[in-house]
Amino acid sequence: MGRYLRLYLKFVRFSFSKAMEFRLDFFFRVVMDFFFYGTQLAFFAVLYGQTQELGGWDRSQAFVFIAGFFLVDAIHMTLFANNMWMLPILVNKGDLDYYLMRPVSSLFFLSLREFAANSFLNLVLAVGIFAWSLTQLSSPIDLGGVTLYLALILNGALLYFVLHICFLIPVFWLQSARGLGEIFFSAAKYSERPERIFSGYLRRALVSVLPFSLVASRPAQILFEGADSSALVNIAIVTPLAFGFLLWFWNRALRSYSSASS
Amino acid sequence: MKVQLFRHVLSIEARKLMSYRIDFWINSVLGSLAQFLLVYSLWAAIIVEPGELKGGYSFDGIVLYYVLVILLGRLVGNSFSQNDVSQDIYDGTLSRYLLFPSSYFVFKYAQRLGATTPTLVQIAVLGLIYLLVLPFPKEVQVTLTSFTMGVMALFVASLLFYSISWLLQLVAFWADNVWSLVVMMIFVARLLGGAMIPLAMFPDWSQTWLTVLPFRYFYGFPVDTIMGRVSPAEWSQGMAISILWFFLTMAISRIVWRRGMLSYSGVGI
Repeated sequence: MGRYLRLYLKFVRFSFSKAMEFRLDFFFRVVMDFFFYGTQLAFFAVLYGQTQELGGWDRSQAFVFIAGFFLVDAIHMTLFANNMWMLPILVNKGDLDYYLMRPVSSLFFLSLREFAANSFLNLVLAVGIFAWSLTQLSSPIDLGGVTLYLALILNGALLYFVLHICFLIPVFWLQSARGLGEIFFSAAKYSERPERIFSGYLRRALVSVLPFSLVASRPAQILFEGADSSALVNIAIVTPLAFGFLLWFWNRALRSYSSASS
Repeated sequence: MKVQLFRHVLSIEARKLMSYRIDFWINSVLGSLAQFLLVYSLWAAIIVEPGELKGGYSFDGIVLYYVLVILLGRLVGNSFSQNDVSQDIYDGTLSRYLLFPSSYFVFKYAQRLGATTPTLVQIAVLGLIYLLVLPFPKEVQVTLTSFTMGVMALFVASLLFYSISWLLQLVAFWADNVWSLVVMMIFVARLLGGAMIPLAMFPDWSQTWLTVLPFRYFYGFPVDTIMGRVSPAEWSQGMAISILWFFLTMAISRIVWRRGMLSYSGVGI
């Protein structure tokens, strides 16, 4: 464990030095995330011009929800996203060998090697938007509720990573340079909408096999309505199962890796 | 660039994309289905009672609007991976293209068109599925005229999107990585272009701005035109604005390109 921690700290140090080498790119990426946050907030603002309530939430609650998603997104962008973008290319070009030769877990190395320093700055911005959105709420929220919510958001970030990489792993069989990345970007939008707008099998799928609603929507629901035991149990069961599935899927994929580029 | 060469480049690019057929179809069909179910659920939650939304959309009308945005948006360009020009500048591959007996701008456009050509088949298949499965909105009248005007608007949208993305990528002559600039443009274009939410639903004070800015002409304008929601006079005005934006972008690009070529070392990394 200590060895992995030391290695990770080296990853972070190296990533910060690299980011400082490309200062303009660093700046562009920070601004890019500003645009992402701005467009999402504007989207909800326009949407609430059409309705008073969406998925049982009023405008101020929807802003807290989307700010929570920004936290998940910023964590994901900081820790995992750069690595996820590279994964299909490494498999497609047969460059994965370099990582498989290392005396550490290949999943750890490939998922965490690049730390996005610019997104770390955006995490600060996301925290600011979240704090602002809390002040806009009509009903007060207690500190315990916010603490539980933040813990669930961290869990949501882990789930989001698991979902992202699970959509990329089929590249080992498809051999293309993108895997099912395009589908992930479409499916990931389900995390950015309140769970209660969905119904039937789709809603059930979103809290079980494709747990996008557990990323930010369910935590927001728990924040507004109090800790419902069935909702917490749902998260507590799905998270380890999803992570277990990822480990199994990853090992299965590595066995299919031929190393030949295409 | 000769027409024959243009067609050849286009054909190579289309065949390159089709070499990963399974990936092409899986990503397209499941991606479109995921997007569709999302917007369907969202608007079904908003429109709880029959009636019209701001802008005169019924529920079936808004579903058709999004189906067209999802499908036709692929022809215009909305992929986050559109950074081929900046990559060529960054790694020095541009030098090779400069030796070609054709304009680099046109060559890259032919490549982009080639990459979107197979999408026409997907649009036909998925469009047919929509017609078979979902009710067509009663208030929408697609005529031959509105369809032709829409196709023309779509073509200009594709050119305009390409020219703006081209201009942004030319910044690569001075910066190492400009991929994020194109992504920023896509974020803004999706919101202010009507891909996230129809522009008629934006507040009244913003309507003039939305008409003057180029983004509306990427998605909302062609789709509304096909749906027969744009009069010939509005269409002419919209086409004039989008063509004006295209020429303006090209004029700026010309200056930037010349300046960029002076600083281009051709070494790459």
